[in-house]
Amino acid sequence: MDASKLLTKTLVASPERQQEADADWRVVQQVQAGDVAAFDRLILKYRERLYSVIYNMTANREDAADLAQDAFIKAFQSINRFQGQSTFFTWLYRIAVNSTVTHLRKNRLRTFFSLEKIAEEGKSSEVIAALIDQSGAERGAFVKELQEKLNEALQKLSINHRTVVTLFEIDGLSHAEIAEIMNCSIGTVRSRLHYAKQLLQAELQPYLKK
Amino acid sequence: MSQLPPDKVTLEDLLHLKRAERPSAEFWEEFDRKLHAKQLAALVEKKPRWAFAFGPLMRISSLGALAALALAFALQEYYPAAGETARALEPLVAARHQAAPAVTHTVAAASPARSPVGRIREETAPAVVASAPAPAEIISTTLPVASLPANDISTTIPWLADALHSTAAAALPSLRSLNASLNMADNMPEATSPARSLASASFSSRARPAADPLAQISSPGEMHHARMLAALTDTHLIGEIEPASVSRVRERIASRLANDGYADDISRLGVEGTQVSFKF
Repeated sequence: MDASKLLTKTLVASPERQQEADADWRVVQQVQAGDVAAFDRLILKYRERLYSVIYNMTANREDAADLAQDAFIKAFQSINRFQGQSTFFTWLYRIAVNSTVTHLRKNRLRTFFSLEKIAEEGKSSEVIAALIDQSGAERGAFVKELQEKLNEALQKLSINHRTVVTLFEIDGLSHAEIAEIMNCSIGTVRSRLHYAKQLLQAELQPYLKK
Repeated sequence: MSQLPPDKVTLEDLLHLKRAERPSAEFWEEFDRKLHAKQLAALVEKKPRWAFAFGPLMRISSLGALAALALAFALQEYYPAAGETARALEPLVAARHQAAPAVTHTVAAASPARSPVGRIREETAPAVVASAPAPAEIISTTLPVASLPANDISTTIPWLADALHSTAAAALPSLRSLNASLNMADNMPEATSPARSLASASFSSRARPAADPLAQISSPGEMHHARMLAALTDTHLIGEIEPASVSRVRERIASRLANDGYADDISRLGVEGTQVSFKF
């Protein structure tokens, strides 16, 4: 990793992220020393986020589960080669994203949704309430339709654009982290994000109120 | 609970809904169970240590095999008859592999009698018979086409010399047929030597250029003439004239029939005694 990337990463990474990275590195060292059970802590910590990223890229819960498990297995098998030059989670994300991209390219023509149910709590509940006043059965149908439209709009994006949107808007990673995971520049990430948002805006126009 | 203003729903808000798509607790139990099963399978199916050590060697050897295959294919491309003639030349190659004594034995057996076969062999392939040289030398003396590469390569790659020998010999079918004939003659017992001259005579007679097949086919006009001649001879001559003059009459008729203008109608012909008449 060159100096500019290291500097960017240092500037962007928050203290909490840095503490997390240090804690992960200690666990990784335990696994490398032979404590295989320590890897379960890393699985428990990252399984939901990793699954979420893959699920939003594939829009299929079964595929997402398989790919997330495979990503953990690959990380476990290759953990002796991990030397801490990047954070563990970016390394794990890179494995997962690469596997998912490969899977999506292989199954480009096979796209069917297998969606999770939206948990109406917190901000999601506010958004739904702002979009529809009704309650009961009509509300449920509306939420389902909105979910399908969202997934359709995301699936219309290219794989790279979808990945950027998923990592930035849904998982909340920084541009630098996404650039490291996708092995591209920060400018590329910003460009892709801008273009993807334009497309999504056009697709979801009926649901957006200005 | 703070409500979002109805006119302030943005794209980010809609995408935020995606965060709320979360699986249930049962899903994670199943997820963990499958993951541990895969983890165990990965541990069990771990590659043995020798695979890591011999992995590069295996790759190198496979590359070498691939290169050898490509070389063999290239040789086959440049000398397409090599595979076919290799089988025909098996006795020669086997004799060459048995080294010098076998070849000198052949010469010694042939030299006292100095049979024509032995002389032919000595004249056509002197280097092979005279000193029983090494395989590469055989190639260089008898087959000058292949001598340049064979001299260089055969010292380092012996099997390549074999391949070149077989392919170069394939380029000379006369040498191949000559060797086959000589082998056949050598296998014949000494008492049957007169048969050799007979065989060579019959060979030379067989070797004459064949007649033109078209010339052997008689034309329809000739067949017609022959039929007319036979009819005249049978119906008019036999019994009416003397047998001694039949052949002379027949010659006359034949010479007249050679003229196609007279042969268009047999009714114009008439025979009286020793006279043949034509109506015009």
